[in-house]
Amino acid sequence: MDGPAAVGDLLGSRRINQPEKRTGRLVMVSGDRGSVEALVREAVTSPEALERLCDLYVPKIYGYVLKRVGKVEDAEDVTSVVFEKVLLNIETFDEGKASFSTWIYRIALNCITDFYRSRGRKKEDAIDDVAFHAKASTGDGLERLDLQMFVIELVRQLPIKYQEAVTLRYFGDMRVLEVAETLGISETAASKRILRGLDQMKRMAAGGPLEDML
Amino acid sequence: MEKGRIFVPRRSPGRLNKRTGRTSEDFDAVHPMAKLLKEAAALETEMGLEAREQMMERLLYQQKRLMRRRAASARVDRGWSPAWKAAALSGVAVVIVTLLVVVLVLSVGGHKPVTVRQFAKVQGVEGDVLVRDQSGSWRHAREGEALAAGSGIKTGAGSFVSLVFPEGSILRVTDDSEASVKAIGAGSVAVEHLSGSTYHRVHKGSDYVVSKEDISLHALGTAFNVDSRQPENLEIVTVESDVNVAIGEHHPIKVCEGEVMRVDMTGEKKAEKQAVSRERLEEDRLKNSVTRDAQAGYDTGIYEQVDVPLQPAQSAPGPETTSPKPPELAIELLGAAAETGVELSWKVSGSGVYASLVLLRSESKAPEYPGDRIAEYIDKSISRAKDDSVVEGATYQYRLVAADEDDQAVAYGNTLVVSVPKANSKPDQASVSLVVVAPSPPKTVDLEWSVAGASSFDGFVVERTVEKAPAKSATPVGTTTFNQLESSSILYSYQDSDVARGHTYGYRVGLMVNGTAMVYSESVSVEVP
Repeated sequence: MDGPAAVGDLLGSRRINQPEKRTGRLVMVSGDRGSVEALVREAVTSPEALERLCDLYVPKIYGYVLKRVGKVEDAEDVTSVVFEKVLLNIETFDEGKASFSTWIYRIALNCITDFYRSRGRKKEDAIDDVAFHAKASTGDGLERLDLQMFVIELVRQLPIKYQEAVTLRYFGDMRVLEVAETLGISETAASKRILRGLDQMKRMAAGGPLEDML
Repeated sequence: MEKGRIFVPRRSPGRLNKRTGRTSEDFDAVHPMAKLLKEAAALETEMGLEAREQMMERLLYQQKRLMRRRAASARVDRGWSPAWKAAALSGVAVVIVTLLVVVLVLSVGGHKPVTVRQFAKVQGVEGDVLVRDQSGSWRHAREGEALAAGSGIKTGAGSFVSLVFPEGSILRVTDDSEASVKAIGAGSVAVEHLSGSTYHRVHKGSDYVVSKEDISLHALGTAFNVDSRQPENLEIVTVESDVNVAIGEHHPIKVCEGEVMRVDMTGEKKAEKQAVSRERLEEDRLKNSVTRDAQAGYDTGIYEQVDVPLQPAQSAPGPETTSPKPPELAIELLGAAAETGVELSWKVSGSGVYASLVLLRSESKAPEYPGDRIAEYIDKSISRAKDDSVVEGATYQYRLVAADEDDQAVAYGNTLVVSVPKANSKPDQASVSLVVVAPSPPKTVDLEWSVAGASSFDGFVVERTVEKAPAKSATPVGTTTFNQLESSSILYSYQDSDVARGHTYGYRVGLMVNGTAMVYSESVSVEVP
């Protein structure tokens, strides 16, 4: 075939492979899958459904975005853009192809990528805001919080493909299969990226405050 | 097709199931970083209440707009009853016959058909505005004068003018810019953007085309800005609705509300499209044009969506029939990248009083006073400067501010954007690099690819062609399949598990931009014995 072809021209004349259907659907964020899908359908026209959908997903998406971008103001902006894009494109969402969770996280990934492209990614960007607004989750107060912040900063230093896989797995609380579906890659490829990301973080952490824990 | 190399991956240190070739999920239990990440993930963070409420307000407003649009579409799509269709067809037939008769009579009678000439009206002249009429000579524009097709219009530093077309569209020519009117018809307008920035508020239903060289923008009821101030770049920002941009012979690309397209005007004219940044929307020149739209009662699209406040009214609200007072101080800043830095020059005119000129510089946002100050000039005879603290490959925004004795800003100049080229830099070409991994025995084929030279795209298409096949194969030689993947990740992969023994497959991956594969990787062959 010579040169690029418009896929649209060929769809009618070529056999199209459907994405491989995997067993084991994504775990619901809360409630049962049916209620979330119903909310999504109603969110186009019902303010109540839209608010309820936001109640379910804003905490997760905001928390994920904040750990990725580091600043509260930026995280608020990016989260807003995510939900605006969700609403604008909600009629194109096909529950047969992916769960809503996969879809919204995919939008979040793209919005974070756009954020970095428009602002210019600087490795020295501080993530003080995350610490300022976070509550230490366990034990030793400030020292523990510092270590958690250090880990988050390590993740942000990873190459994008590993960062996405690792953060979806641990900050998005996804199984490997769900990470694979969100990124549109095979389960094997997702596993590899997560492992390589963890390995690289371990190498980067050598000689630092996490040395004793590795 | 070329034979590609087949890579066999090294064993990963994680747990690899040798039977299935898949990595299990229990690396959490063995990898020390996994536990630390889980603890970090437990950090609780909540979106601020005010930010949450503002977001919900915008979403609910957007929801209402979507519902209105759906209702409007439903009205348009609603079909006519057979009786109405028949009546309409009959009516159309009668009109056509009548017109034919009239034309015939007039032709026989020796009368020429009358063509009604359309004109654009000059409105809101501010500062130094020139028009070029049919005679080809330039003169100062007059408020309210009519311009025919073939006329040109240009503005000086700190100047502004609008052209209102008979069907209702408005062309706003900002400072230091030039445009020409190519055609004005009943319900159609064609203008040419020549330099600077032009803003276009298109009346819904009008056929409005803006062109620059072999690029044409086609709008049907929208508002967008065209800017060519950066050397060899054309930027299109869509403020409301959509614009179709055709580059040369390529299929038009839609630039939606809130998106910006930048076209590299050198060589083959490569384009990239992405969401417009807030900083770009807050740029004074663009905000000025959108503010005038708002004053005239138009929707401000993306400005409303992302809640960018518009400037206070600079002229009386309502139709643009009055000219505001010319500024007391006009500051025009010019500049360009040179070998050892950025060379700047400026001109200050007007009767306003100031104590010093402050030079501002920023990179990723519009320069702000006084935070972005890099130099201050008290000697008013100075009109040139060189910034040699620039970095190759960076883009800077400069602005001059006139300040009084108390360091209060009394007048702002234009914002100048300068890109500092890299030494010996060549423009990046978009490319896709494909690696095929076929584990042994090859029951599946894993593809991994990376993208270079492209900053925004909306997915990939994986194309597989059968190069060799046994006799009576269900997929004979030449069978081609496509699999479209949506993602804008930089590195991507795909597993083809639909391979059969005895076949040889050729793979290539295409980069999708706006539904079209713009560039393909080289083809790589894999033999499945």
